[in-house]
Amino acid sequence: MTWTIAQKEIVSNLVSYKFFVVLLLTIVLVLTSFFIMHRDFKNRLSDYQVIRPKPGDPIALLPPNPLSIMAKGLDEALARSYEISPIGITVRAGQKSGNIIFSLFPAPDFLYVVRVVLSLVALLFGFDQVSQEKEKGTLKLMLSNGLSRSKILLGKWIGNFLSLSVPFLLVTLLGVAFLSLDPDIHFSSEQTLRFFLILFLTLVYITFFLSLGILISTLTKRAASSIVILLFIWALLVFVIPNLGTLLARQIVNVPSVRALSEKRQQVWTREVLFSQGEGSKLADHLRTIGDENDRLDENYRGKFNRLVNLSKNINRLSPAASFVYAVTDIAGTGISEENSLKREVVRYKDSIIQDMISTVVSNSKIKEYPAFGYNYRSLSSVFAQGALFDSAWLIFFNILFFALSYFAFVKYDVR
Amino acid sequence: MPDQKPILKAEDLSKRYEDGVLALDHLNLEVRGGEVYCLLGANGAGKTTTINLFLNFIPPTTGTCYINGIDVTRDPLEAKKYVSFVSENVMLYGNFTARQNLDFFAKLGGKANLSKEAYYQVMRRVSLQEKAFEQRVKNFSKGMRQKLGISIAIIKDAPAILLDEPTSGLDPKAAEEFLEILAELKKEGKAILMSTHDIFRAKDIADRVGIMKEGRLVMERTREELQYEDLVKIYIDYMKSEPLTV
Amino acid sequence: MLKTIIKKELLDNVFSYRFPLFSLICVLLIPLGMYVNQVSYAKRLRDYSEQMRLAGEAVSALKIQDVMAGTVAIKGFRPPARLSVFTQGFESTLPRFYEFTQDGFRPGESSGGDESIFSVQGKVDFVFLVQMLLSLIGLLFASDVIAGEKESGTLRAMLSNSLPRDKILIGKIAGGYLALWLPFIIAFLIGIIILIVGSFPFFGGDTPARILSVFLSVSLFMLIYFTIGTMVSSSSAKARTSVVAILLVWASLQLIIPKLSDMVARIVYPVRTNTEVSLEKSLLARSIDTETAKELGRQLDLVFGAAGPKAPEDENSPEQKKWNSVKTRIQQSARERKARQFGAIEETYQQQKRRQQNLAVNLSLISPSAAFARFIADICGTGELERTKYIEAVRAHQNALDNELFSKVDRTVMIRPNGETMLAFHAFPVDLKNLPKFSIASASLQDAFKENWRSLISLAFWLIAPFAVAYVRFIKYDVR
Repeated sequence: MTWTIAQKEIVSNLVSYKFFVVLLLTIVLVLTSFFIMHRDFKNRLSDYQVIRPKPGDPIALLPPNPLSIMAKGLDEALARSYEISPIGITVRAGQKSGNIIFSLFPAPDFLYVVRVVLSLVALLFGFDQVSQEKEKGTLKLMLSNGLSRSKILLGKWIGNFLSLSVPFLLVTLLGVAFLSLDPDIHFSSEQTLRFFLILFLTLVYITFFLSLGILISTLTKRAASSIVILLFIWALLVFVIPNLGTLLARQIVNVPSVRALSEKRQQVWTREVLFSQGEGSKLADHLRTIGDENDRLDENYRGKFNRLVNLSKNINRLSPAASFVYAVTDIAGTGISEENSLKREVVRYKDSIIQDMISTVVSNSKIKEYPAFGYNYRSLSSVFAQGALFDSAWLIFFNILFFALSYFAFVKYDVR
Repeated sequence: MPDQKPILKAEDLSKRYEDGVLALDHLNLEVRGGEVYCLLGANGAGKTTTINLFLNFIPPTTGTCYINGIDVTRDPLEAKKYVSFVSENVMLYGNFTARQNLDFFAKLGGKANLSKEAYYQVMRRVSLQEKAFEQRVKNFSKGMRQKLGISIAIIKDAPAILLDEPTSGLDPKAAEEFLEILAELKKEGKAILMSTHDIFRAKDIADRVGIMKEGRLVMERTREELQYEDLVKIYIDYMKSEPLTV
Repeated sequence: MLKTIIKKELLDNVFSYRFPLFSLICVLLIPLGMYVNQVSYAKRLRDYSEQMRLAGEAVSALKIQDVMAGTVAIKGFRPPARLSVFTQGFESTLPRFYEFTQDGFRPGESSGGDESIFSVQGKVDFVFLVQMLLSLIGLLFASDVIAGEKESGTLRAMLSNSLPRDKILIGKIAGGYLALWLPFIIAFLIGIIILIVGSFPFFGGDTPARILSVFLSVSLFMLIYFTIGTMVSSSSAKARTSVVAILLVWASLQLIIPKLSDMVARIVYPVRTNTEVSLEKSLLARSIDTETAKELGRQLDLVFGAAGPKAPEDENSPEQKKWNSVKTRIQQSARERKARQFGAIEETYQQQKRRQQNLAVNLSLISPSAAFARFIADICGTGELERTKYIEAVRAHQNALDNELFSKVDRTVMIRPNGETMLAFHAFPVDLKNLPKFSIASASLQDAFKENWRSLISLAFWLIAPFAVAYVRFIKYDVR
């Protein structure tokens, strides 16, 4: 019986105007997103070929990450160049795509399309389910046929879930298939696994909003006015709460502006280094002191900053949308934790070559060739261990919770 | 009365819709002041189309509608000054109270600056409960809405009143009250054209009755004539008879 | 009659569910958006002052030896845009400073930096909220301006009266829009109050005029979307279909067209990246420099003989004089060559970029959202205009520094035919205490309007055309 209802939902969706529009929207948005982000990636890649450090340069620079096509996240920040010098690390902007229009409008990556648009679509879909049937009077008809409410809800849920997810999955796979035609992009098996994980999380995210829509429509009386409630909740979940955490955390955790201090030291030390050439071991000691001083400052700063970040993350997680973003960017390798990991690796790299560098300066010998910087993206297991598992579980929990809530609300729903 | 000019007049009125359906076929109709004309017929017979044509909601294919002698198609704004309309399902602004709705439509009908008491009087006249005057209309029953609808018509005080199935869905008491008001309005000299299914009530209230079938006015009877004929029998006979050939 | 309809429409909205809810959304989110950005602005301002101070100290401690060693790197900082409280625009992607050296200028880090990791959840500024939310709400509220009323039959009730249809339409649009505008005004004022309380420099220069412009632009933007929604409503028979259509309209105007336009422009007019051009220039510079050095070395030998110039150099010896004139000639022609070739590369590059940019801008104007975003970014000093002015100021400053500082020290590299590299210094007096200061001539409000005439036309179009369509549709609208 449940399946009959599910079938009815699917068929009535297929012939409805609304479904056609949503399908069109999904196709256009997802394919456009892949197209645009792919181009952006190619531009950054060719830019990278131009500015990549020559072998022997003490520069850490990552090439752009192909999974950033799906979730741009912090890929731009991850692509900054870190130049090691005797007095520390200089950070510069990395490869650009020259795509400045993105600043006025957010980057239309797959993550954005799902996070913003598909959530709204799923919400509207879910919302429509109950209110439309009530207004059409068909709900009473179904219930008068001795059909249990739970079967009706389940059937509706399954039918709508399939109507939403199947076209979406097909379009996404199509988009990725086009991507794989590009010789410059090849997904390793691990990256393919990551891609499917992201897809799975996307489905979880969408179904959360589906359940939420059903819940809202059972709780409100008239459809037209409740659309505003819907919008409000969507805006709250997708835009407001994920940023609220940052705002609040800043009030609580105070992070020193270390940049200013290191500027000053940088200038003083640059001169000292350049004009005390040939002072031998005294200079070396001096440089080491500078280095240690810098490290200390940096650690202090980093410690506070990480506290800020963690606090803000935890508050933001009140919204499943925030968790979704964290989980997906972490899996794609463009998330906050990845950036942290990169910074740590850079510091390690610096530590490994700094002694050589200092002795080169001191002895005023020819510029040496330093070992290249190598970075391995964190493995999936460490990605999950460092937060992605929590975010995913949290998202799934929300899903189950809201499904249960919508179930109960529907069972108690007043059909009159 | 016979020498009075008709306030509502349909002259050779025809309407064919875009999909080819001939909804109205050379209708001729007159309603004078102080007269109630009931238009009877099955669903799709053309009753609502007639009313829509009078109100210029759709243009006629041929023929003309006159309200107070004014051609409705040529000068709709002027014509509409002389007619009030009560639809089958009176829908109003749910978030407004009864009085606020009345106030709005009174202004639209050209009656501005009426006092609250004036509105209350009209609503009392149609037997709307006192406590409903300042209540939001969205919770009104159908009967209450119809009463409010007629009070809107009353306050406009136009010489003609068009009603589309006004008593459908009303319980007998509410319908009775409604028709009493119509009778009063008739005595005040209004020309009333009303479409209805309700043969029984039509017999009571109508001065004249017209039966429509497939777009044509196939029969007209006055009140006197109906005393000697059984309207019900006539109606059902006509419904059961051969379909009219075009 | 018109006033009656406007009043009815306004009150109908106010008494409904939507008004208090929308007011709540507005009053919560708009001031929040402004507050969040103000906090960020205050921080960036503090950082900026601190760094200016430090850089000033560094400059005042400059010695001529630094200049001779070629290690001078003077920083020019860009103050954060005051009105970035309304829209970030390009603010977080513009470099915080540029470094000016002997060899040219280099961009420093952008103000993104560490803070950028918070952007992973997207940024929420005032203009973003307006574009995403208010546009959608405006569309949705308007979606049953006509279609909804029809369903409830009130349209018929109105039309049975002596009331022309155009008055009804105008009244509905005016009344419905007012129900949106009033909460917005209140929310905006609350936001302004919060800004003033947070010691935002509200009263200074043309800031009030700009803020007024922002307010008016947003009001226009909302009216545009409301009118578009009305147009959709007048084209549908049911409120439900118009909601769906509206979602499609919103997504296209908001998401698809702005991005697509940029992409299409890049495909039609591909341009090399800045990095490639800089690389080409620096390779060119290096090769010219090497040639010049070799030429100088050769000439040096010719003038002074294989032994080279005797030190200390006799300023007045005929060899020295001859050498000076030869050196000047060679260096001059090298400079000219560099300038010419650099100029050519730069010119082509700028031309290509301009063409691409123009196409992208023109295409994106198809969407009122994009037109609005550009226009408002320029009003707030975080848009394209600001970027242009910044780079102009940078170029001008590099020129000024070249004249006042870098050219005063003559570092001549000579590669003699025997392979030996020689370095000669000659320093002219430099007033290190009075070096030119870096400043950006911000675009005025009039400039912002002038530059954005295309955006303004697009917005005007999007106001008038949908209204015209709604008008025509509504006149014929079937009310049965």
